[in-house]
Amino acid sequence: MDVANRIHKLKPKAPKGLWRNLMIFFAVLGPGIITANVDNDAGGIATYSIAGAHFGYSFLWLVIPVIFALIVIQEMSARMGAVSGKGLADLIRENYGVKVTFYVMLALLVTNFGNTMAEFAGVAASLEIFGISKYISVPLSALFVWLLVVKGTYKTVEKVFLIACSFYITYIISGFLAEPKWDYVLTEMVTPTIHFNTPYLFMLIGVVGTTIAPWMQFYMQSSIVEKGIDIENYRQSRWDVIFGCAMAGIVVFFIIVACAATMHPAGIRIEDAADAAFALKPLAGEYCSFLFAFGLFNASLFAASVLPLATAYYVCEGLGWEAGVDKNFDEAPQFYTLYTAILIVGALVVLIPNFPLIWTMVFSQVINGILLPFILIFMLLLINRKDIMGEFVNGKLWNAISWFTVIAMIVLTLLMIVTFF
Amino acid sequence: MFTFFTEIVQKDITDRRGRLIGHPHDFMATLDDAYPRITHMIIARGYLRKKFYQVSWEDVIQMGKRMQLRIPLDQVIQKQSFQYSGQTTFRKSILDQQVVDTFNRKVVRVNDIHLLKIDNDLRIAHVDMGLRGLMRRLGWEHLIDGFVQSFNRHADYLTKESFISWKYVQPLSIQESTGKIQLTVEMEQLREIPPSDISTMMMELDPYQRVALLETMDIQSQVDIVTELDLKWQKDLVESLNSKTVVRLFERMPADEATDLLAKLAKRDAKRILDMLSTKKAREITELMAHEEDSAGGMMTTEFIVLRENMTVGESIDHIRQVEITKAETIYTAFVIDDEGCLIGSVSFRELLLVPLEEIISEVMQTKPPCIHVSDSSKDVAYEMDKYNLYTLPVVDDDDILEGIITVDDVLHLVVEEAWGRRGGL
Repeated sequence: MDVANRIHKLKPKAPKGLWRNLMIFFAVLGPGIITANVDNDAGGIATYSIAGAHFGYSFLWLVIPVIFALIVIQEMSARMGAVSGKGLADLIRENYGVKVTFYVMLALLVTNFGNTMAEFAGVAASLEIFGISKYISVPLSALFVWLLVVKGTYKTVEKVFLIACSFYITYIISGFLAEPKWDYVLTEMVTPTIHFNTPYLFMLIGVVGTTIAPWMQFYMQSSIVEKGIDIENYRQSRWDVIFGCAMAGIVVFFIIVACAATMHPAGIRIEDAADAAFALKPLAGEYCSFLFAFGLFNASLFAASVLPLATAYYVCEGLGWEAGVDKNFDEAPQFYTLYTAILIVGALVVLIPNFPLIWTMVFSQVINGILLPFILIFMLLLINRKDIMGEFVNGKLWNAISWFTVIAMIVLTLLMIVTFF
Repeated sequence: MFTFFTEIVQKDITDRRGRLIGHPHDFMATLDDAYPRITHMIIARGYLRKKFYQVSWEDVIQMGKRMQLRIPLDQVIQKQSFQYSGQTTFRKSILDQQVVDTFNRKVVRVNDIHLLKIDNDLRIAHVDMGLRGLMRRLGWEHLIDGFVQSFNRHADYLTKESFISWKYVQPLSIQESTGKIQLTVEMEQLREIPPSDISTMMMELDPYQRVALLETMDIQSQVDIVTELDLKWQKDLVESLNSKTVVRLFERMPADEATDLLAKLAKRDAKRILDMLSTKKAREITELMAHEEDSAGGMMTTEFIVLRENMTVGESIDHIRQVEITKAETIYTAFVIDDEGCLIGSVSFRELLLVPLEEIISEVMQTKPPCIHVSDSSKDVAYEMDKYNLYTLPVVDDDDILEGIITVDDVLHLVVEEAWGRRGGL
């Protein structure tokens, strides 16, 4: 019995009836929505805000194609998880050897370390708007995150996460409170523009890199495996992915709109997401500003709970060390050390006086964008292998879209470097 | 002489005239040997578009730093897409893969393979799962060795090898031809691992390996392993097993565990399984399913030993022997009922052992034993057991008719969860 057969044997018929489908949908709900929302983290919000404030509506057209690509790529992750029952790091290790895995993990570790710093920078910045010093907020948040993950169970953590997702609505309200010119917004949305200068390309890579972050693919695939979603109910899981990505897309749209409508015409240069919240105050009113800041706090804390854990998990998974919060320190020393180190160092760095928070937040997203195509290449190689995916290999359209993303990101990175000199 | 996989694949392969052909890529071995001997070598030729050739090990001459082929390359089978061929190879089954370390009883990932060279033969001796093996694969071995040496010449890193002897290694790769895991000679090692450890190991595997590993066990071990798993995992596992195996499992599972699991499955699957079970088992399960999960009725099992008060101790022991064949959950306590099925007494196996065989049960038994009502909560059950120091608590209905028993392991599970939550954390 070969792989194709093994998988085929499991391939079920689509369940009939709306109710049955809905029930399965709610049972598998979670991974897609959570992943897509964690994606709008502090670095993401900072990147989108600056994109809106500095470049006006000229990034809006990008939202739809990027979200579309995100759906395609996340669906691939979900499918690989459901069919193979393995995490992405495992699959890379088993098929491409330890050497490749090690360097991929090293790159992921470095980027995610940057991302974690960005999250704590977000916590610091957002709470400073409410008058709380970062020397109090950051250590307390780090402790909260550590306890939630180490002491909580996957179920409670997932529930807390799903609730956190709903707070993203604050950005939609902010967008409306900013009173943009809607007709102008809609035309901008469908008119692609691109400028070949370093700041624009830097921002462009940042926007794509933060929307389709490399670590998301690992996270998505593992949560699918963790949740026990298999071929039988992965159809419903697709809706989870589409719903989550669409939600994330709407939030991105409104953040850009809010900043573009208020700050861009006024010519305000903002340096980070908290600046954006602050700058919104005189332009769009105090509520808009508070909502924006609260949204940022929520997003930062949410992502800070996921990122260090996820990173520690994949690195250990890929290198064959025991991992998981259901093990104790003696069983999984590397896992706990890595997890705690990323969290503590990430939080401590932010506390250094005059640390360039802004630069860190946006730069970490650009690094995401540069790493993304390489992770995608591995995913594409794996998902097109019949011995792993059986008949669930990629279709032509899916391959075309993903390869286009890979090539586009590599070309953009090269262009950015070329224009820089 | 010992060597590592990593070192061998760096050697050059030449033809008889000494021209470079390529490098070793992979090997095949007869895994069912005690120390598997390499039978074939896969040669990779070229860089970007690699071509693969499979040669028999007899046609390879090892010459120090290089290897030479006895036969010209065009007589060798060429494989276009090596990775899809169905055979078991090092890279597919051992290197970078998860294997069971039957000595330490856990699943580990292999970093390197330690080979023993005798004349022209190469045999697997150990697998390396340590940090040093990892560094060797990365090509940093000498660098890191030198670095560590400069601090401490006798560091654990240098002196303690994390090798597992091959006889304690069970690969988990699934053979394409049979759909099964190929067992090594020392499969007894695998069989000796306690079911609870196997259950823990199974969580680390992918669903296909989980099923394949389970299928290497005999049916009783399978039941023990499955019942040790969390319900969620039990459900996942049962969903991917074929229905024949599932029915066999259910047939042998204690009725209370079987009921809990059945309640977790989709209604349609549960019904199908119930239809295929023997009438006796199906009836037991249906009865249990009528109770609330968290009540005494939901926790109890209906497989227990009943005695009559007019039996002698000798007859009772014979009776217990017979019933034990059909697997009552516990034999340490038996319960005595009257003609209506009402609970009138209990007697422990210890008491039966200590009195003469002719004694009548009604003389030996404890009358009016502590019991609990089917609708009482799990907390009541725990209190009652603690109060009377019981291992087994009988469950009765409104008319005092004995419905089932609850054993201490069912309660301990709840108490532990209540007190500490699920196991985990630092």
